[in-house]
Amino acid sequence: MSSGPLGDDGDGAALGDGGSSGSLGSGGGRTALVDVLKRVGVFALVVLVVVAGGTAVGGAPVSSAPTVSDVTVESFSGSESVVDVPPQEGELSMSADGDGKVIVIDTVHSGSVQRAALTPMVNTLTESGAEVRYRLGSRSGGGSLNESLAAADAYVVIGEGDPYTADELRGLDNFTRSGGRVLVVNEPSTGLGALSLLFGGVSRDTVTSPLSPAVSQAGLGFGSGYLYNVENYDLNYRSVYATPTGESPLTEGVDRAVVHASLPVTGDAVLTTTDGTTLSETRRSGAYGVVARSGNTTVVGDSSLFDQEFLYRADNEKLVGNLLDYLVSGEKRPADAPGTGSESESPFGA
Amino acid sequence: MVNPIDRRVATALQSYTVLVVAALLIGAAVVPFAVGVTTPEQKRVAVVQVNELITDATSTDTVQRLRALRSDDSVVAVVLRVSSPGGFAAPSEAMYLAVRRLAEQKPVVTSVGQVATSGAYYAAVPSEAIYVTPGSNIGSVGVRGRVPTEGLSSQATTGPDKTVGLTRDRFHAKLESMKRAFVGAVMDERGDRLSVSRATVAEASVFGGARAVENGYADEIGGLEAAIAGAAAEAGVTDYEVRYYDPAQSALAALLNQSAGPGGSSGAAGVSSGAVAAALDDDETSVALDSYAGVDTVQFLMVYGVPEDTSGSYNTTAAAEVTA
Repeated sequence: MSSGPLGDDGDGAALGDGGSSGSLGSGGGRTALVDVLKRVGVFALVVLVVVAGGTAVGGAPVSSAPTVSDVTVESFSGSESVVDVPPQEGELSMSADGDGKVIVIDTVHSGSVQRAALTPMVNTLTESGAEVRYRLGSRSGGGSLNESLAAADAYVVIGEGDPYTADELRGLDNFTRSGGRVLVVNEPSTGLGALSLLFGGVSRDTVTSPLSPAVSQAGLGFGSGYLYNVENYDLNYRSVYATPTGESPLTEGVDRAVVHASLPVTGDAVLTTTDGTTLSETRRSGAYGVVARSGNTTVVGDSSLFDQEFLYRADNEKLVGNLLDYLVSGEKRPADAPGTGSESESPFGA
Repeated sequence: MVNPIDRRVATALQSYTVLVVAALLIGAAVVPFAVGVTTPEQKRVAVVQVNELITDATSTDTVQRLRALRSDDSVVAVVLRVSSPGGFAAPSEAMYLAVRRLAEQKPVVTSVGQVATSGAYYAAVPSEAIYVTPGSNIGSVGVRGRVPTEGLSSQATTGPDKTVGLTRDRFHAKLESMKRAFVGAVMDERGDRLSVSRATVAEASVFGGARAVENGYADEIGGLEAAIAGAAAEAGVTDYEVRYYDPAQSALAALLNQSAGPGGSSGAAGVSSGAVAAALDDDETSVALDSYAGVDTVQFLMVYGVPEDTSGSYNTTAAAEVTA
């Protein structure tokens, strides 16, 4: 800085020079001291004015590091805060001999059945000596339903696919009257069950369930909505417990089963959900049937039972084993019933 | 011979201009401390807005603000102005913890706008009082997520869980664990005010404002003004000023920038709002585009409603989600 309103280059030079040469006298030293004091005074005065002014008009509030105390959340760290996967034990097996029996799994009325999903069920049936056939439908080169039934001892349909024709319904009726076994397994809607992706493409948005006519002639049926229980459940509120209603070959050895997002079934239930189970559509709480049987027709409200994910929950493997026993235990007479179906006796008429 | 630089420094130090400038700077630095020790502070009620889908980015900004307010002695009470359907699970839990920590030190009151559900309600439950209007929606105490698919990965992995991370059973167990934590927190914070059972809370229902006051999900019918007044009353102050904060705004700006290009990087925000839709969407394409930098991970959400997919590929048949 060469010069300024408050600057004094001459004094500065003199002070510097004097310090080094000692040529200045006592008068010069006092002048330098006064200059220093003046500068210190100006400095202190300005600081004081700024601080006082700033304080008067206010400033930013003082912040400091906040106290960080422990926040204890019981529900985060309590003994029940970490949920374990329930044990999955047991083996799927059959007690009945399936030798010579033919089981037809209908892929037409089951929608998009993927055979891999049925592996445990099919393997167990074949190990018992039964023959498992998949019905592809006439559009895939297969025969009619009645032709398939004529060669079958048991008929299985899982999920809702194409509706039945009147002729097919007559054939089914004749089939069961002749001793053929029918197992109808349903699901609430696409995506809710473990097999949802395997039986995709079906929906219960239709007014009439395609399976209803097939089972109603046996006095059975499916409700709408799905079952859940928010108080007593297996890992998820949609996985509810079900217990036998009494003595039945279908529930032999079953103390408690687990069904996942099951449809309620109507008819003579052999397995009902525990109290407190709620139906989604009505929000009514109670014990709902999930497996029911009438003669040679059995309905199950949950296809997840047959999937690996739920097969070994609770006593599910025993329940499924009993259902497989049921399939191979019928005695159809005549063996080729229902024949063509046109001559069969049926409440639907010819 | 004096060094020219030394001479210039000596000259500068003797300059009154330099001295005055230095004094001004030092004085300005001292002012805040002087204010703190010499004058009584104006008491403030801080209004912190939570108007967004709760993500890692937004919750970090909000938690940071709440931390600052916790240590600000001039702030005597905080009002959370919530209008959010919730968001991702872990950020929602972080919000809950931050609000709970704040509520331990000064009154916190929540004012609900359109909606305070799921993760947003989680953040609000430690409040001293929750104010709603009849049109508010509140509740949805639960967690949801897309059930992972199992099967052989097309990529080579070092372990069976390397891609998905957990089996379907463990997914459900984790979902249940998070639900228990959430429901438990609600019962801990508001159990004495709720007229409904724990099981009913776990149904994840959403209630209108009036009903929420009736069943204890909320406390008062009133707008933001009433909530501010209530917060001040809780703090015992009558003379106060109100200061508004919208801490998540910067994070949202980052999100908006991302949404311009669905394939863009997640950047600082970590995950886009489109990822919420993707987490609920069965359309693999949209998952690849909208999730964590194109990586489809198992996401747990605490959100009410069906988020819109920014890529427009939302599949209405995406029912594989599980709501607890």
